[in-house]
Amino acid sequence: MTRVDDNFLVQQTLNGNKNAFRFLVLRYQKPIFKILGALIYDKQMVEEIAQEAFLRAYKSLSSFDPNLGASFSTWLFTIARNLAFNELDKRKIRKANDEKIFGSEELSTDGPDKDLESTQTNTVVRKAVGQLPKEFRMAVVLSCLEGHSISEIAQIEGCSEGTVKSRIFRGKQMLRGFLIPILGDGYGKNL
Amino acid sequence: MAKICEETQSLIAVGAELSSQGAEHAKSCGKCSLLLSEYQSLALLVSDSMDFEVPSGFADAVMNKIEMEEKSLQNDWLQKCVSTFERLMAIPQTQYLALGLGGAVSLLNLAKFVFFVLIPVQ
Repeated sequence: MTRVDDNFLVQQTLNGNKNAFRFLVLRYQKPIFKILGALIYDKQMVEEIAQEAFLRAYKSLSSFDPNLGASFSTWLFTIARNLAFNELDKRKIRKANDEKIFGSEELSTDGPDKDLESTQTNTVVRKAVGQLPKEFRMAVVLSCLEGHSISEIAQIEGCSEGTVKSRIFRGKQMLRGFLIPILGDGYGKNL
Repeated sequence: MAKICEETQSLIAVGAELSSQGAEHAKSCGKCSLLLSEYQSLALLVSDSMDFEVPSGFADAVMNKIEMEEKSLQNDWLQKCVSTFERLMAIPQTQYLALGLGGAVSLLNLAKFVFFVLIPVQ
């Protein structure tokens, strides 16, 4: 089955076909949850913000212009990212949230199996991602998800491509630094 | 390090798309292919760890919210008119103005009745 173009679905929605927007929600709900999950851990909050992001997108769909260069997904992810940051700022829980999710303690580097014995790999990786500065976190997660290009990430983050490259490079270096002592040098082979 | 290695590795490190020449090189060069597989594994690890489960019926919930929002928007206009009128009428000056206007209209009607109905009959 061929994938229906996003812009076609947007046009259909603007013409009053709500079912077309439903297709867009179904298409992007998973990536949105992943992106929001990288910023906030509270599942309830992730769901609320994801709903709000789709609602905002629906309400301002007429302002989305594919001719300006941004794809629908980039536009949607920008809305979700901004909502997440606004919400976290509003509730002033970012710091507490980080500590709640990822733990305020440093990752253990005592031995390759210590963290793995008590927690799953996903938790270890999430903790490591959570220890990245927030500006690096979003860039690294976006570059790892769904193969976003540098220019798309720059549009979502609202900064230059050079800044994005530097954030991804430094973020991934830091991540490797966190993960190699815990998962071992060949963590790739554990997959 | 060869220039092609340097270029390929810098692209791999930022997750940028490799050119066809770079991709070919990454296949044949031991160092570059190792780095590529390591970064691909890292990307997969991060992607998997962020796998938040989408609650079932999420899309329905979004569509219901949109439906509700649209309905409330339709009612909004009428509600705004009523609430604006109520707010205006709570101000004493507006009440005096309304009373004055009402009085003026009544007097005008009375004058019309006297001059156009009663006097012509006499």
